[in-house]
Parts: sequence; structure tokens; C-alpha cells
Amino acid sequence: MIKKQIDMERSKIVAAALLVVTLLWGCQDFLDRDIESSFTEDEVFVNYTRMSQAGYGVYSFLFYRIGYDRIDNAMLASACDEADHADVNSDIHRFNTGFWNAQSVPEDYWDDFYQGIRRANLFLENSADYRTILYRDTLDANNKNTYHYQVRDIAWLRAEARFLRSFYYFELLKRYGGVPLVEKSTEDGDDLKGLKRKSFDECVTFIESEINAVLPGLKDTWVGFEDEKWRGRVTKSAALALKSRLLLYAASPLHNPDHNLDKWKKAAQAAYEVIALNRFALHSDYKGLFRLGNGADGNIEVIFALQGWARNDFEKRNYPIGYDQGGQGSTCPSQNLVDAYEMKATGAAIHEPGSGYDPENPYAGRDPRLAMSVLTNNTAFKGRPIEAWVGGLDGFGKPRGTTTGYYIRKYVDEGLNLTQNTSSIHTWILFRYAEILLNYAEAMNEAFGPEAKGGYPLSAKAAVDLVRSRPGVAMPILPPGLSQEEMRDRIKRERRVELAFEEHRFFDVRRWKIAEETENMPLMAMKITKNEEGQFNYLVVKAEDRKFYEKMYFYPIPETEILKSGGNLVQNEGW
Amino acid sequence: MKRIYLHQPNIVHHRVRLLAGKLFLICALPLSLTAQPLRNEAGRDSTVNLAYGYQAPDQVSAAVSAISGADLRKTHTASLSNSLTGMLSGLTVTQNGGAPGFDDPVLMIRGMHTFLNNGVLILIDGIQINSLNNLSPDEIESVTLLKDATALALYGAKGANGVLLVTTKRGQVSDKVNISFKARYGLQKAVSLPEFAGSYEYAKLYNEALANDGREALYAEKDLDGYRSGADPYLYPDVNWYDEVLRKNSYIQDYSLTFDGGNKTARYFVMGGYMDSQGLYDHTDQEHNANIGFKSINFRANVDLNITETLSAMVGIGGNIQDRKFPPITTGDMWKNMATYAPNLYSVRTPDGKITGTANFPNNPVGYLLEKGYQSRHDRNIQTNVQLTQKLDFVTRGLSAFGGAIFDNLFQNRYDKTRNYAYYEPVRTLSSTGQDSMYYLQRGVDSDLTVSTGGDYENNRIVFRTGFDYSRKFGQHELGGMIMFQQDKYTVLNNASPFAQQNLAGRLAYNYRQKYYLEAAFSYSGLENYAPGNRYGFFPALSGGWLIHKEGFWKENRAVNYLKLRASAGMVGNDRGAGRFSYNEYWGTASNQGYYFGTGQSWSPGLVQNSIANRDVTWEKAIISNVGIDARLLNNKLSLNADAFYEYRSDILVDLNNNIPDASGYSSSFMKNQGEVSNRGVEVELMYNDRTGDFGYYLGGQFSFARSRIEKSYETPKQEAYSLREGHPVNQYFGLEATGFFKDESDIASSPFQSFSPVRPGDLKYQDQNGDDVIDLNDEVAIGFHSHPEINYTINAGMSYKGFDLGVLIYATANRSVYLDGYMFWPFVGNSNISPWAAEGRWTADTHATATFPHLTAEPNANNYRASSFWVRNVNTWRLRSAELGYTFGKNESSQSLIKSLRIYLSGTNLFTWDDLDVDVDPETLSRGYPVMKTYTVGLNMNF
Repeated sequence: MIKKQIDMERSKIVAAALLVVTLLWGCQDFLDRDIESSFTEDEVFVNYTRMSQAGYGVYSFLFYRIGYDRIDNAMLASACDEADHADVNSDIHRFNTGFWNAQSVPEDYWDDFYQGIRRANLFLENSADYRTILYRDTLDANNKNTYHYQVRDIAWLRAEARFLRSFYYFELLKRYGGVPLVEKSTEDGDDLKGLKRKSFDECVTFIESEINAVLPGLKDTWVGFEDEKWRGRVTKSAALALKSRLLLYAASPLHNPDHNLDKWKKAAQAAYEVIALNRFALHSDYKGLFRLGNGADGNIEVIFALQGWARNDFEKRNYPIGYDQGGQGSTCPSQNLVDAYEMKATGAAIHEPGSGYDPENPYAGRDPRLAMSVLTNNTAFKGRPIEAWVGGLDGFGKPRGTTTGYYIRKYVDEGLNLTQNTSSIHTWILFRYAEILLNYAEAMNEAFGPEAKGGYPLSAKAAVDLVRSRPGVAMPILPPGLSQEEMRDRIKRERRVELAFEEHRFFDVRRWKIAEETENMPLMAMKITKNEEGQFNYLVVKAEDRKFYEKMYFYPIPETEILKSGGNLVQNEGW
Repeated sequence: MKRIYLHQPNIVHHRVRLLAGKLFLICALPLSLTAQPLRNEAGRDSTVNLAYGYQAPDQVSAAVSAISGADLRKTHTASLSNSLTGMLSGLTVTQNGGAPGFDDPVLMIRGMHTFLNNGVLILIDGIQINSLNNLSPDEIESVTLLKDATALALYGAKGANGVLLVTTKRGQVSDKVNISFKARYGLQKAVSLPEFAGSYEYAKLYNEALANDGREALYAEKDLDGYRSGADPYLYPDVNWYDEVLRKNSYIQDYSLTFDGGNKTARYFVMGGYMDSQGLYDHTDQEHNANIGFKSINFRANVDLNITETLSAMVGIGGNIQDRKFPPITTGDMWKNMATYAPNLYSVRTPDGKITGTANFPNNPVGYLLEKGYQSRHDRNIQTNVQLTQKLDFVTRGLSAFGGAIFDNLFQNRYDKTRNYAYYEPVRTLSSTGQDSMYYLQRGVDSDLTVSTGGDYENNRIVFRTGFDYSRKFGQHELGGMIMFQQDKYTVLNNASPFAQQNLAGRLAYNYRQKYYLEAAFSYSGLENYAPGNRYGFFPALSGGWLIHKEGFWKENRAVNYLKLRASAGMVGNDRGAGRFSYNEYWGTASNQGYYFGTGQSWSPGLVQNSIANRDVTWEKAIISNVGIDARLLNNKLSLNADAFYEYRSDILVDLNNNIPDASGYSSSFMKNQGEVSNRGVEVELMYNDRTGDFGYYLGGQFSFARSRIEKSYETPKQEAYSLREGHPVNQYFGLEATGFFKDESDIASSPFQSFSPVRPGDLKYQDQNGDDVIDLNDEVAIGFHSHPEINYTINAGMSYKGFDLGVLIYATANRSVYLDGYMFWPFVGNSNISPWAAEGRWTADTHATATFPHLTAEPNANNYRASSFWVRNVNTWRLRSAELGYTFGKNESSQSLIKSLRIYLSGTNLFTWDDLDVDVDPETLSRGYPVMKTYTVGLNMNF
């Protein structure tokens, strides 16, 4: 009986204890958990550090969409008549076979650049009140200097973000034509579905006005500032250079079918604004120019460059196949391009009578930029001559070897030891002075004629001659008295040679509306054989046929985008 | 709700029933009807384990299936999940190959419920675990599969995909210690190894592919002769990498010893087990390199104490030590290299025994296996649980309170010993005499083995639980109930924040005259992953059962001995598939998001919007209804269980980004709970068993079918309605409809333009579905089924005669498709080899009428190598999953002898596989990766 009572008492205690424990557990804020390593949106735009980091994030859409390994490891050069990509598996070949459409474009950056635009918008919107935010954060008389420093820097960053947004819009523009303009970040699905494309000219006007608006807020140069640690950031010159390129495109036949001379005049004016800065000149080492590392904007010729990182993947792909670990499917410059390099002595194209060209010794006496841009047979590279002949170490026809008889030299760091995995920083120049001079020459020629000055100190011819006679190249200047037509062709050839592989040709043949001609020509190669005596025999052969249809002057907008918009977004013609 | 413990003097006598044990557990066999009391091997009665409790079979009105631990020994596999194949109706087990220690299969209960995560919840003794594979079959009393709303409601927002409930063995009152020893040894062989071309064939066909592409031949006639004669294995190697890397057999062995017993105050069950499974890699020494292998020690001790007359305790501790060793290359890559490295690439070694390799193909499979060192992973897992139960009859009769804590901890670390080794690239030169000769170019250098440790991973889960049980009879009425509160916290090392869950759950059961059963179950459950205010949800379910055979009017019917009708409906949730704390908008750094400033390489990280907040994010909601029937006919010889269900899942997360123009610029998804999927199906189990004298036999089977349908998907818009996923099952294959091969150029010219890549005669020709004269993605239609089967069925048969017993289990799947893509099927793509299937069926100008495979090409042919009905094939599969022949000694001897019983047996797992694919690969894994294994086992069970 007693035992039972004790048991009963104990039962009550146990039961009570269980109940109490239950209540205690239940009372805790047991489900309140959070990720402490990330910020929620209201924790970002609260101080200088985080706000500026949000600004740096806007830059990152430059990576991978321009430069070394763009489309399935290929350079954009391999999507036009500059080169062929040796790896047959790469998606880039679809540009050349013509097998691309609105469902699948080898280079589909529609989404990417709008992401960059949204990131800029988010930064601009959330930092609009930056003075108040920074004031609150540095609220202390002693911090006055800090406050001023931070306000100045965020103001720069905001201007840079607006530049980058314009840059991204221009990247869309040159591919798709007019696009919808999204100036504010939005999450409203209906608004977004209602977006319509602006005309090409409306987009140009928008970008131009953006550039004009940010010019006063951009820094002149980052060189010599705070131990050079900000080199690579956007400058006033970069914005002017973008404007020059933008207005040149806008004046070009593809976008200016009526040949409106005012557009050419505006383009000339924009290019001249960069020239008039008197900040830039041509670098003495054409070959070394493309191997400048980060902070290349300290160079006399470089206006704005995509900063890079230490890497050797570009060399692994582009060293000739015969070099250790090289040749993983590379950029093979075309005979079409090689033929564009003139004869140094005469300044004539190779096929012109009296040019001095020797088909048995095709690389002798050529424009020096050929040897600096293209690795040709039997030229020294890393301590031995290139063996591009059939059966040679780097031979034509070897799997993953060259398909054209050439390898690329521009951009390639010859000094890397791939077996030891050494690497070097690879910077990609986005704007350089030679391009501005050629932009100027092209616009001047169209607006005023080959040798007219139109009120500027420099004629079209004079600008081209500056490029031709650049130090270390010293090609003969153009003969006087060229017609506007002849001058146009010379400028096109000059651009092709001077700016080879720099992602100009692909777009130039479009805006000139000559792609139906140039991109429908077969891509040619040099088949080199070596005879018993060790002499080379050069034979130009076809590497592959290429296809370009009229609709391809513009990319198709992704088909799903058209469908999502419910008809508000209109597809480019022909797709 | 009282457990009835029954003693069974002669275990072996009921072998037949035990082999069909799962059926007996669920078929609601009224105990009074059995001439011999039923007892499974662990000495358990026939209660059914359910969520946080158990019920007598008559009471069960939910849809559940169960098997005993003994059934898990039918197949001999290294991981326990594989032993569930074909055992539980409604459970689909998809094998993942047989790599020891890495062979966790994919489990799916009642098909697909959502187009996000269909993962099932696995619990052991009330605590959630990530995988069953830490367990030994000998520590398991039963595995219950919970399928419908009533069975799952108590798991709230975690239960909707179904639950596997594992209950470990416990001790029984016994006058002596029961000791049992089990041992088995299995010899394993790959069910099948892929076949590929030898060097001559390969070179010849590669030349043919090049010729088709209009390119020059790579192999000269002289080379082909060299490959054909095979006279110089260095200049003209012909390597079958499977032969070089693998041995014919591997083995698996396991041993276990259990003790159980006890008296009225204390009962115990103790088990120790050891398992060792080694893989197929040959010539390894385990010191400088390693075969793939898995060793595991398992232990468990469960104690039940009656502390006072009203207070009892259950204490359990269990755990395992697992050690895995493997070559320093992923198993997938190892097998891919063996399949794709061309036979003529290089000889395995140079003439002086050094490992070969080239710049493009550095990973000589033998070199990687034997020269690179090894890696190992060590897992330590421990679980403890303590639960007290206090009877509270003094408050009201039939009431008791319980409370307990469960703790589970897993620690994993790595010990790797790897090195670099020199390999030698064969370089062919033309010597002065015009003969090919060869020298070897050294690449890389040998280094010493270096040890690296770390890679630590740890997780732990701690659960507290308290509640009340109630059970009482009032005349003809019987009322039972349970209510409990549980708190669960799961922490993963280096994870951002622990997972936390609170759950108030209960069940109320009522019956009248043990004929009419009603049950209500619910949970009110909260999860940390949702916004304050959205964290708790209520999940109710209701069910009923009617034992018709107990009705007066039924008594006449002698053909039907037992008949129960069941029905249930309710709501359960599924929280899988959501990101963490997605109600917040997070900003943070991300890879490549930032920029380099300055003249060197100094990275300025960007702070970027990583997600767009889904303020109202919630779990998926499933409304599940189920009707069922349990019957026994023909003097209880035939039992039948059948269920039919319909589930409607809503609030599935969809990415609105699919529908919003990309001009939005979202770099992340924009999730909302707006998707819907329905799922329907049936399960039927039949079992007939009979015995006459010494001869007993059984024949049965199960059939389950489940078909899902995407009701609302918010998918990316498609131009053609037939391309939409909506309206089709989850994971339905889509692709072009292949109509054959192009005969010639005029056939190409007169057919719609195919927009993927240039086509030539011998390329696949597709149906123009929308009649726009262009073949593109808008011509994609639903083809076949999906990679999971809609139908599983098993045939289960056996017999016993005197001491002998024999049993087989056939497991089959239907309404399933496979996509024959990648290196096993696409010759020369990504440097792969060619299989006889492709070689023999290939299209050539001569064979165009009979060809079964496109013409060969060495180019990436975007026209042929894409999803189409040519590559997506329906496949039906039958496996002889297990067969076992046993003999039991001492059946009639007195129980006085030392050994109470002894059984020896021979068994086989995966002995035969049939399928209707024309290509010779394993129908489940498509022979990618480590193969599925067949096992021949000899075993021994002893009871003392």
C-alpha cells in the first residue's frame, strides 16, 4: 500500500516534470534561425564598404563576354573570316555553318547583359541617398575627412556604374539592334512582359545622353592615384571612346541606310573628342601592347581594358600542337586575314601588280604586324621554328593541330612553361587609341572626303597614316589622291589588320553590310609541304565553306523571350 | 493497444510464413484464427509500427506495408536500402551500381509527387536519418512503409513523399539467453560489363567515320594490318581496359551475433555485426593503392526496464564504424575512362613496365589505380535514445505519459595518400629504314606519397519528445489516443544555421465492437525555414475501417474469412526543394562577381543580390485520399491487400523567371508556391500459401502503379502546346520523333529542313510536328515515359519440405524509358569508343535498308546526338532478385541441445536480368559507372 503511494507520488513528479520540460521547450524561440554570413537587403546599403562592393559587382559582367575564351573556348575571331577554331566540337562552328536560330545562338548574351543592367540599376537606386547614408555612418566630427573621401568615391562609382550600364546596352545593341530599355530594376512581371523594343536610334540617343550625363562625374585617370590601386576603373576617356564607337556604329550602313551625313559628322566629332584630349598616342611596341598586364590603362595607347587574372588556359589552347601541353583546339588565323597584310616596301596589297609579293616565300617583306599577330610557318617560337607543314610537329592536318597552316600570336604569352603550369595575367584591351583614329578616319572620309579636314586639324588620310606609320610598324603612308571609295576600302583593310582578333571584325563586317560577301566566302588555308631538299611549297586551299544569310546581320532575340512577352517583343526580320 | 507477446517453440516450422512475412504483418491476420501463433524471428507479435506508435492489424485503417528484418537478408548487398527492392509495395528502389560503400540506391514511394524533390523521409526508432545504409539487417525488427494521409499526417510538413519507418529489435521475456549467430559469404560478379571495339575494328570504323565526314583517314593500311595482326603490342596496342583493371570476382561477407532475453523487470537485445565488401579492382595492395572497399562494424544494445510498476524506460544505443577505401579518382570517371580510352591509345605499360599516358589522355586507368595512391573515408555514427513511460492511471485509467530524448551523431573524415607519377607518352617516328619505331617521352615526375587528412564532415540531430498515451475500453466502445510534442534540431558542420522543427502531433482512435474503426490524426508543425508568421501549419487526416466479416450477415460466407474495408483522406506537407530562408533577400559575395583593380591581381569582391525574396514561401501541400481492402479467402490460404490512392499536390515552388522576360535581369530564380501535380495509383498484394504434411508452399506477388501529372508548372512558354510539360507526368522525356535515316541527298532535299547541323545520308530524320517545314525544338513532343517506372511488380514463390526450403523473388519494372546518351552509346563523341550495337547496326550506303544506327561520324553531330525517340527507349525489366535454397538441421530434436537450430543456405542475388532493350547494357544503370553486381552466397544461421 505504502509502496503504491510512493509510486503514485513519484508518478506525479515524473508527469509534472515531463509537463514542465515540454512547456519550457515550447517557449523558446526555437525556430528563429538565420544565415549570419550573408546580408539581407537592408544590411547592404548602410556603409561605404558594402556600398562600394555593390558597385564593384557591376563590373563583373565584363568577364567572359569579351576576350580570350568566349564561345565554348573559342575566340570571337573564329566566328568570322579572321580564323577557324581547330576543335571541331566547339559550339562556335555553328556561326560559320549557318546552323543557328532563335532557339539557339552560340553566343547568347541577351540574358547576361540584362543581368548586368539590373545590377547597375540596383546599385544606382539603393545608393541614391549615399550622402545621407555615409553621413549617418561616419557621424563624428573627426570623421569629416572619411566622409568626404567616401562621398567622392561613391559618386565616382555611381558614374562608373552608369557607364557600365551603357556599355552593356551597347553590347546588346550591336548584336540585336534596338532593345527594350530598362532604367529601373523591377520585379513586376506584367510590366516586364509589356516591354517593347526601342528603335536602334532611340537606344543610341539614350546611351549617348547617359554618357554625356556621366562625363562630369567620371575621373580623368586613375594613374598616379592612391598607389595605382584603382587602375582599371572607368575614366572619362573610356566614356568618350564608347561614344565614338557607338556613333560610328550608328552612322554605318547597317544602321544608317539613307547615308545620313549628319550621323557621320557626329561620329567624327565623337572620335575627335578623344583625340582632342591629347592624352593618347600610339605605343611603340605593337606586339607588347597586347601583353600589358593589369593597369594597362597607364599605357599611352590604352584607353580602357578588361582587367584579368593569371592564367595559362589561353596558351594551352593556342600554343601550336607540337609544344608540350599546347594545342588543345586553337584559333587558327585564316588565309583570308593573312592576305590582307600588305607589302611593307610598297604599301600595296599582295595581289596588286608590282606589290613585290612572292608566292614561294609568302611571309617575306610583309606588314610587320603580320608576324606580330600570326605565327607563320618556319618562324621562331619558343626556341624552335614552327613546323606547320604536313607531317611537321605542328603540322597541318594533325588532330587538334592547325586547320589553316597558322597559329595565333597576338595575345599569346610566349614565355610560359606549361608543363610547370606557369601563368601570367591576361588583360584584354577594350578601347585603344588606334581604334579611335580609325573611327575618326572612317567618319571623316564619309562626312567630308578622304583628305578634307571639315574644320578639324586632321583629315581621314592623316588619321590612317598615323596608324600605318605607328612606331615599330612604319608602313608607308597612303598615296595621295584616293577617291572616297578607295579610301573606304583602305580604311576597312587597315582596321582588319590593325585590329585583328580584337573582336572588331565580327561586328565591322555586319555594320558595313559586307558580311554577305565576306562571310560567304570559303575560309582559306595554307597547305605547306616540305620537299626532300627542305624547301617549302605553299598552296592555298579551302579549309571550309561558310554560310551567312541576310537575317544574320542581327542576332535573333531568344524565341522564349518573344513567347514570354506575349507578342510585345518583336523578332528581328528573317528569324 | 497492448502488445501481445507470443512464444513460438519452433521457429523453423513457420519458415514459409516468415518468407512472406511482410504480407502477414499487414494483412490483418486476426490472431485468434491462427492455429499456430505467429511470431517473426525477433520474437515480435504482429503489431504494426506506425508514426510514434503501433497498432494491432485490425485497427489499421491507413495504407502501410511492412517487412521484418529477416526479409532484408534475402538479398546480399552492402547497403541495406538495396535489400528493400521488391519488398514493400509502393516502394521503388533504383540501383545505382554496386560500388562497395557507394551503392546507395534512389528510393521513391508511390511514384512522383512533385517536380521538385521526391526524397522520402527515413526514421529509425523515431529519429530522422539520411540513409538506411548505416544499419545491419540483424538489428532491425521491421521496416514499415507509410503511404497515405493518416499514416503520414503526424510528420506534418515533412511527410508527404512517404516515410520509411525502421524499428530496431528489443528483448523479450525469456527463461534463457537467446543467442543467434549468422554468417554469410558472397562471391560477386558484374551483372554485365560493356563491350567495345578492339583496335582493328576501332581504327577501321574511325576511318569510316572520317570518310563520312569528308576527311582523310587517320589510320593507314599498314596501321590497320598492324592492329589486325597484333604482333607488336607496343606499336599497335589493343587494350581492353576492363580486362586490365578488373578481376573476375569480388566478395562480400558479413557476420552478426545477437543476444536477447530478460525478465519482467529488464529485457535486452544486443547485436554486434561486421561486414566487409571489396570491389573489382585488381592488383591492389591496399598500402600504396587500394581496391574500392567498404568495411563496417555495427552494434546495437536496446534495454527495456520496468523501474516501478508504473514507470518503465526504454534505452537504446546503436552505431557503426565504417571505413571506405578507394582509388583517388571518382568511380564515375574511372569507369568512364575504361569505357572511352581507345584500345589503340597506348599499351598499358612501356616495354620496361612503366605506366603510359599522353598529354590528352593522361589518366591511364591502370596507372591511376596502381600508381596514384588511394583515398579513404571514415565514418563514425552513434545513436542513443532514452524514453520514459509513466502510467497515469491515478489520473484516469488508461492514461500514460512519456518523454524522451534521441541523439544521432555522424562524424566523417578523410585520410588520403596520393602522389604524382611519371608516365610515358609513346611517340611514333619514321626511322631511316622507313619502319615505324617508337620512343617514350616522359611526362611528369614521380613523387612520394603524401598524406592529406581533414575533409571533416559532421552532423548531429537531437530530438526531445514528450506526450501522453490513452487507451481505454468502455463496454463496446474503445478509445485510444496519443498527443505529443517534439522538438528536433539538426546541425551540419560549417552549415549556415541548424535546421529546427517543432511538432505537436496526435492521434485519436475509436472503435465500436472492434468492427467499426475511426481514426483522426493531426500535426501542428513548425519549421525554421519560413518567415515568422508562416512557420506553422496544421495537417489533419481522417480514416475509417470496417471489418465486414464480423457482421452477422457475413457469417454464412465461408469463402471469405476476413474482409476489411479502409478509407482515409487528409493533408500532409513536403518542405523539400526550397532554399534556406528564401523569405529573405540575401546579398553576398559570389564567385567571379567582383573585379580586379590596380596593376597586379587584387580582387575586389562585389556584393551582389544572390536571391529575390519569396516572402510567402511555404511547404508543398498534399491532399491524399486512399481506399483499401484487406481480405483472406479460402480458409485463410489466400490473402489479398489492395489500395488505390489519389494525391493532389499544390504549392510546389516554381520559378516565375521562366515566364518573366529576361530583361528583368534576375540573376537568380524568383520562386513562388504555385505549381501543382496530381498523382494516382494502385497497389495490390496477393499471397497464397498452403501446406500438406511436410510440404508447404507459397506463391504471391505485388503490383504497384503510380502515374503523376503536372497540373500547373509555370514553365517557360513553348510555341507549340504539345511541347509543354504541363499535362504530362513528372520527368516525362521530350524529344524529336525520329522517323528513320536519310536515304540519299534527294531524300534530304525533299524533306523539311533540319536546323541543328548539316545533314547527310545516314543521319536521323525527324517528324515535322507542326508542319512548318523546319525541324527545330518546336517539333519536340513527349516520347516514351520517364526514367522512373510507373509499374513495379514482384513474383514471390517458395516451398518447404521437411528441412528444406526454397524461395525466389522476381522484381520487374514497366512503363519506364531510358535515354541512351553519352559515351556508352554515341561512338567517337568526346573520344569515346564504339560498341558492337553501333558498329553492327550502322548505316552505310549498302546497309541503308536494314541499318539500325546512324552513319558514323567523328564530328559532334548536333542533328543525331540529341533527345529523340531514337535514343529514348521504353524498357521492361525483370530481375531474378533473389533465390535461396536452405536446409534446417535438428528440426525435431529436443530443445535441450546446445544448438537450438541450425540452417545453412545457398542464395543468389541478381542472378538473371532480362530486358527488352536491343543494346546490351544493364537496364537500370545503362552500364555507366560501377556495374550492378550479382552475388552467390553461402550462409549459416545458428540459434543457441
